[in-house]
Amino acid sequence: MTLWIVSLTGVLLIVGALRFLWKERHERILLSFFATRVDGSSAAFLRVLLGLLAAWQCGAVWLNLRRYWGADGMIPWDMVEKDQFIWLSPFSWAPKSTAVLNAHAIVFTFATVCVLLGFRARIFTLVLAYVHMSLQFRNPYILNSGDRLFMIVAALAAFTPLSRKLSIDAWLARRKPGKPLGDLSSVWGQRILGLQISYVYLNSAVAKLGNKRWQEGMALRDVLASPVFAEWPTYIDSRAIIYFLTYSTLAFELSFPVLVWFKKFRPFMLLAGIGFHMGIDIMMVIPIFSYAMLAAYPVFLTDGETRWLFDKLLLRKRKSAQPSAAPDPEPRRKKRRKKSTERNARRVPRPDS
Amino acid sequence: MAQEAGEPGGEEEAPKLFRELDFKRRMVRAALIAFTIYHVVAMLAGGATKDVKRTFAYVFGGYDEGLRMTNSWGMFGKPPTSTHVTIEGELMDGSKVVLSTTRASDRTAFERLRDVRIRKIQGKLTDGGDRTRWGLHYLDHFCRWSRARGKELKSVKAVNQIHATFDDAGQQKRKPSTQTLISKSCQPPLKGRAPNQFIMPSQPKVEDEGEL
Repeated sequence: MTLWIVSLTGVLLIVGALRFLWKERHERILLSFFATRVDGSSAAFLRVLLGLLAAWQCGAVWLNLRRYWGADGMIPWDMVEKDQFIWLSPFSWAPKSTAVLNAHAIVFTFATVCVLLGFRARIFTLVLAYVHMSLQFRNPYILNSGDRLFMIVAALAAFTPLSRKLSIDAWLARRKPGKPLGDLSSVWGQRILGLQISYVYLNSAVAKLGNKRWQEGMALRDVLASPVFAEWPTYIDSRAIIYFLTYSTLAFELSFPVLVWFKKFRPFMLLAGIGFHMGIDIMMVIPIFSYAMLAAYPVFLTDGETRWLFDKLLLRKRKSAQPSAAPDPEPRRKKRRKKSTERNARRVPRPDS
Repeated sequence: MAQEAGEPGGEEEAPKLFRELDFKRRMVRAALIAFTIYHVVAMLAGGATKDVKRTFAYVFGGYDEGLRMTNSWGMFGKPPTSTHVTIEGELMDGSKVVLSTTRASDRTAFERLRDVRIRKIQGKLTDGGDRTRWGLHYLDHFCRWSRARGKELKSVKAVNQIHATFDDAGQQKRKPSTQTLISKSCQPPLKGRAPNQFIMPSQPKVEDEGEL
């Protein structure tokens, strides 16, 4: 009770302070970040990647269904039944039931197909998250960070307009023009996911900064020499290489959460991220995590950037030139050059003056 | 920082201020703001130290441990100390067989795909608590699994494959060795006899690793 009163007083004080400090300008800045309207291109890209990731997870679920989650599997039910929140899992209703076990796999598969094809994707991405959560409760001993991240991304993706493009829902809506696709079309869901992904990097960097090996720049030597985690365990003797790998990891993880929000740095950050995760995937035996991170990258792209990317990848030329569709660097450079020439012309005094 | 002008609705459909909204939309926006603040604070608390997590457990416990919507992401924050663990069985004729390994290079492409999580669970057998709690049941799974495939096992054991480590000067710090963590007979015990099994007692952990 006391905690509730203290919390409520705190909230009221914060609200009061915000009301005092609040300016319309602040609200507009926040709105431009969280509430800009989107057409769903980036969300569709996210949906496809998330669907592919779910398909991979789905395969792993079917291949290991009985041994990981079954009543006769590796972990007996009485090891997990005392979990405070086990009631959230359908396994708690019938722990020994094979039907419940199979239902998990079937629902997960169906939800994966629906997300991939864009049929009620926002509902089915929540279903994916729920089934995954239930499986996590049944066997928490097999989980890694990638599993947790997949579930969080799947749950938060429900707040993005996943089905507005490249989907069965969009196709159905086109066939029935009177039927709208829903009014959730702000960038808010993408921002929440973006903040989540940024925090993963930041949290990881902060944890590393507290360790002596990372401070000394030698941490990657231990990691790459680990026969458990490295694909080809090697003690790298070159300090220059180790310093570079260690400090560039820290630099990337610290800079990504900040710079990715700026259009100017975004492509470099995303490319660095792709390189970083692919490097991890090739060099190390760490499943799921890198792909879960990469699958969430479309949330950082504007719809225009996503369309531009697909045009480039598919070697497609847009019929109608849309200003936002394809950021053409050339005219901009020309414009900048023109502006700078004008500025210089104003600055430099004429010889005859 | 924000979406550029010219994006769909960028300039022409600028989002309305809170006071310009009707009652229903105000409520929706208030709910979204509340969720955003809740998730961000829960995310920060979930990634913080155990003491901070404990302080906020009353508010975020269900969101964290129940819905599993937060996590700590300190991957490789501490140098990795994990070792490989193999499950080895002895057939009735006395020959040895490796039933499961965490070493990815020893697996086929299909096994690598299927056993993507085996490292996590099998590696936990090096932890005394987990070993005592479910180690025997884990080994029993391999007894049953082999029997179902027509290969009766005499016994099964989990072996810790301790690898060599070197310091920064290249000097060996630890020699490679093996250590039986837990073993179990796959045959029913004789009447009046205790089951033939061994569980290595837990040892103090040197350092907790913050790895994946």
